[in-house]
Amino acid sequence: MIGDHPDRDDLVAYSLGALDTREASAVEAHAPSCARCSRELEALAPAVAVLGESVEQLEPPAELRERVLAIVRDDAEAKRGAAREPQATTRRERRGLQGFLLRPAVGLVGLAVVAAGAGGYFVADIGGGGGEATVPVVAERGIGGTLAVGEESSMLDLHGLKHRLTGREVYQVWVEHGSGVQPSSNFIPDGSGRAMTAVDGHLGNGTKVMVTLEPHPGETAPTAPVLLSATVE
Amino acid sequence: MTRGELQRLADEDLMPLVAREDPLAFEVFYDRQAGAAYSLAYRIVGSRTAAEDVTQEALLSIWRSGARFDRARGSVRAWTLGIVRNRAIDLLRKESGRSPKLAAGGEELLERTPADELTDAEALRRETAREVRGAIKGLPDDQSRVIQLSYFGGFSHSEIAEMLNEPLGTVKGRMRLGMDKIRATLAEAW
Repeated sequence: MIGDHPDRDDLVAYSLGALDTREASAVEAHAPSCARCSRELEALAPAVAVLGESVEQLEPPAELRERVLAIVRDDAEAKRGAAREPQATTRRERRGLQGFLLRPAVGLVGLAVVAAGAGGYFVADIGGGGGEATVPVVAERGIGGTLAVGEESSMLDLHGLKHRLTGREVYQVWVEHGSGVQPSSNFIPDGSGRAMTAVDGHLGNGTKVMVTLEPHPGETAPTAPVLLSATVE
Repeated sequence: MTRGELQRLADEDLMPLVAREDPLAFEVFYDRQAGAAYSLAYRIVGSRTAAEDVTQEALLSIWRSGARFDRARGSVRAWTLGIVRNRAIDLLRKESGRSPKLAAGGEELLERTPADELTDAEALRRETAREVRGAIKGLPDDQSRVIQLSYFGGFSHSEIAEMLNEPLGTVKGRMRLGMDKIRATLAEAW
């Protein structure tokens, strides 16, 4: 058991999310290994949960249901498509092993990221020799973030995005290889305009990652201006 | 699995299918949880538009996170509302100048789900919620206020103490007394 028992007042405050960060951390460090405190928190949980249900019940707008379920269906469709893609990649890799299409060497030589802003572009270059590189991005319009490039997948961490999307709008990630542009993940920023999204697959030299704000999910090619792009060099 | 079969599953049995990215299972999940999610979001953020944003973000985060629900840690409803509350409180904190709604009643009258469209489980939930709502209204004002400020307002106990100009120990004691009464009401309802 770690630390002293919190008093009961503190456990109640913790269950309501009312402890300060340091106090909450102390409870979280102690409670899992303390049967007495765990029991007390478990006993409090239903009372806290029912607070959320105690509000007047309202019917959400039908448009919200349509919007959310349309995004879910498009996500599912995109993932089914992505699940088919690795088979094709595997075939290409097999061909590569036979000398028809060679994969880039492991490790990055450099990464250039370009973010389109209202008044121009910001370009950041870094060198790197490891398996992952992270590049900060800043745009005049306020869109910024990082692209962490990994061997098997990469991660876009963006901020300054429009967070109140209209209709079925969705941010769409595109990956441009030599052979053309393919849709990758799509995402909706949180209430502060931040979003993290994975870009699956190895991004070889010359691969360009782009983000557009599409009027609806499911597009097979960009229909809106590119807001941000990153090219692996 | 057909929609009818999915609708017969308990919430806890539905979630593994949502985690496997079955859009039809998510649709059933949405229909069960969206009303409570939207209602709580509206109660915290106080506007229809913001409540829609919070509900959409919270439910899509469940879909996109692989629905990491752990049945050992409570009900699906409680888990979902915990996510909604966190999103709503985040929004409140980010939007400076906005204060949480503290009145227990007086919400804008929106469309309500007709009683005859409710499932038995949902009807029972709402009956319990009504009893708890009555218990909260029946709490002494000082106990009700600190619980509402923390749960619906997202304020810490030290912030509440400063806001009400009361000692921290007094605020925590009022939270405990109020929650004990809500627990007692729940025990009677169940």
